[in-house]
Amino acid sequence: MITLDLLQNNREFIVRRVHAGWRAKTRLANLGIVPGTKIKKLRSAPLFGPVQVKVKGSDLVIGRGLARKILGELVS
Amino acid sequence: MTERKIINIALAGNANVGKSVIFNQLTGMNQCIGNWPGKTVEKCEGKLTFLNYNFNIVDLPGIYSLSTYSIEEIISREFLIGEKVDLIVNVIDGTNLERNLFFTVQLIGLNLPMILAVNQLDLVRKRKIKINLDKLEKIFKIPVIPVIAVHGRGVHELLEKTIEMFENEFQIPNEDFFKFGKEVETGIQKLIDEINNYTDELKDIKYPSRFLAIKILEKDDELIGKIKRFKPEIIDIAAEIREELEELHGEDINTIISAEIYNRIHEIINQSVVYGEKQTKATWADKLDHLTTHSIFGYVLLFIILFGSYWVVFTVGDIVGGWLDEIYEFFTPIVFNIFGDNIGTNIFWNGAMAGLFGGVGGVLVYVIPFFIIIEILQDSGYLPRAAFMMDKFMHQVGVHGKAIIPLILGLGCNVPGCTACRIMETEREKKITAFLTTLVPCAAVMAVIMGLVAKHLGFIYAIILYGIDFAVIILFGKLATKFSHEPQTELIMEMHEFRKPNTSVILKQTWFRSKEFVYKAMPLIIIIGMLMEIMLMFNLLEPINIFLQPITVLWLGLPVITGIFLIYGILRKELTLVLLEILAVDILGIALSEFMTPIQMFVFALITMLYIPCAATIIVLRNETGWKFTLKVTFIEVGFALLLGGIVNWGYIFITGGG
Repeated sequence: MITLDLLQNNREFIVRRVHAGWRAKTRLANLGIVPGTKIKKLRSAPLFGPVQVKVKGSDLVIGRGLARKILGELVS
Repeated sequence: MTERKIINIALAGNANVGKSVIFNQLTGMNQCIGNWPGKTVEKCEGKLTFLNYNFNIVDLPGIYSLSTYSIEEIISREFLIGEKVDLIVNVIDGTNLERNLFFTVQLIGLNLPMILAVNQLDLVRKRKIKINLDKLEKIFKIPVIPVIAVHGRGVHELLEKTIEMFENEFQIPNEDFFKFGKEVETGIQKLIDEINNYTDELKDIKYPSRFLAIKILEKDDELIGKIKRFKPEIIDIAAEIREELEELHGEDINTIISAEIYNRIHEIINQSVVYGEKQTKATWADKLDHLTTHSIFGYVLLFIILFGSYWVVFTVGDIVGGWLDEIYEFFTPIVFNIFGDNIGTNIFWNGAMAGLFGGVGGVLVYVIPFFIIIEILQDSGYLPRAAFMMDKFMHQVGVHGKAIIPLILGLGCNVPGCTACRIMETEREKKITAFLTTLVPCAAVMAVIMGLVAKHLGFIYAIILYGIDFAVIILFGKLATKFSHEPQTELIMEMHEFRKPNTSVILKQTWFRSKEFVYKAMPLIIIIGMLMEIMLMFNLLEPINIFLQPITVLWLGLPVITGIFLIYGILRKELTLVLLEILAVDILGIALSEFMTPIQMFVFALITMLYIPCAATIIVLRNETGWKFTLKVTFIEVGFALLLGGIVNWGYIFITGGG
């Protein structure tokens, strides 16, 4: 398991756990980031900025701190 | 003549699915005037007559769910459940069905007649996606209408379908297409039974029982609060069921529920959508996307865009403003020849008309080009990229990247900047962002800095002023972060593809923004121009100036008359310069550079830039954040500006030995 911020660009992983607070977690769940969802990392902003991912066909930007709380398994 | 029938429609959907474009197509003009009652969310309403029907259309804010994450979500669901909605038109983005349908599922739960408008079908075709609309219709049991909003396709069909449904007694969609997994469903059923036992007590809460059951299970604090007043027992039962389910699944309830909905949507998509081969060729939008988010060029571009727009705005404003000046000068002798040099002419021409020309020439010519540029950046999808690139930096001043959007808007005018702070999700984020936005040098301040400092002292001093402002923003951002105890929220934001900006949308928006500006500012400027002229004639400015003398003359080293200008500047900041010019050039007949020394000009511009948010900004800030916070911000800024202005003045005197 690795965290989303450490995922390499253009790699995919399947979400296993989200360790965020209730509010952020609910928001992420509503946007489709729940255990079992496949996420593709597109890029991260320079200097350890936020990450941009593809989830369920749409592009989301997630702050670095929150990305660190999303854990998943690499899709080989 | 038969009486026209009235149909009330609500447009609902995610952000950026083309809802507003459909709204514009239907109602002709964007009519987002005023707010939802008691809330700081813009309300867009429009009317339309088609065949023998009158349609009232409300464009709801773009949202992703019907929970309580944002004020927009609460407003939307309360409006939908109220009495004024006959039909929901759920606009969804055909290229992004999965996430859009999540919201559709929630809307269907409200048990209201509904049409699904699948938009962006031109892009769908381009991406070789095949959507089986009949299949979607069969699954959801609601009419599905294909739409290409930007070309106006499908908009008529929406109306025709609405009328057809209206005439056949609206059918309420049923939720048979979706049941949760066995455990969750059992829990929900149990709660529905409980709720149905108390229909009398709960009759004021208009939501359908199933919707209510799901929401209280999801810990929806707003609805829980409402039910608790009547039947606290139901909440306890919900808590028990929730605990059981969370233990069973090893996840929190929202995750369980969202995951089950998304799983069902995934099945639906598999049955009704075929994705063609992915295109590998990068489009212009992809290239632009790469460039704007590149780790070096992205910032270079951001810098170029900000300074480029400033430069364009200033150049255009300067040229057009110059023409206006010439027109004024040209007519001055003519007017005085015709009407004679008397009190009336002076008040009219030197007062009111000077104010009008000063307002148009000094402000509007800068503001309009700026609004156009901002609208282009907004409509093309650039602003979220700026937020993405600046997130890290914005965290330094205590907020996340989205705050860059109000700050950029604030460059044009602090008023829309402050209003845009609504995009910040929490009260803490909103307040800090609004505070920092009031420190951003708006077009009016730019007019003062450029017209006074850059013109008479040189461009470098204008840049120094901007540098000071930038430093002040960082300083106050850091301080605000230090004094707020709530934790910082992380950025979660959708990023859309670049698209060609829509000229008519841009012009309309610019028109509406400018119109608001004209209506609010112009009468004020004209009246003040007249008042100034009258007060000058009767020598009424003296007492106020003498009262302010210790601050203006002793501490700041400014000419005594500037005291009154700074007071007027609270109404609109550009007035400080406009009035200064009226006084020096029009009344005293000398050049500004003879009237003020360079250091006086610099201090005067510095004070104007920082000393107080203008009256309009203060009012908007109060609407968005309340009086207490607004007064705090105002006092801090006035105090700080005077402190800094004095330091610069006395520092200069100290260094140059009083020269």
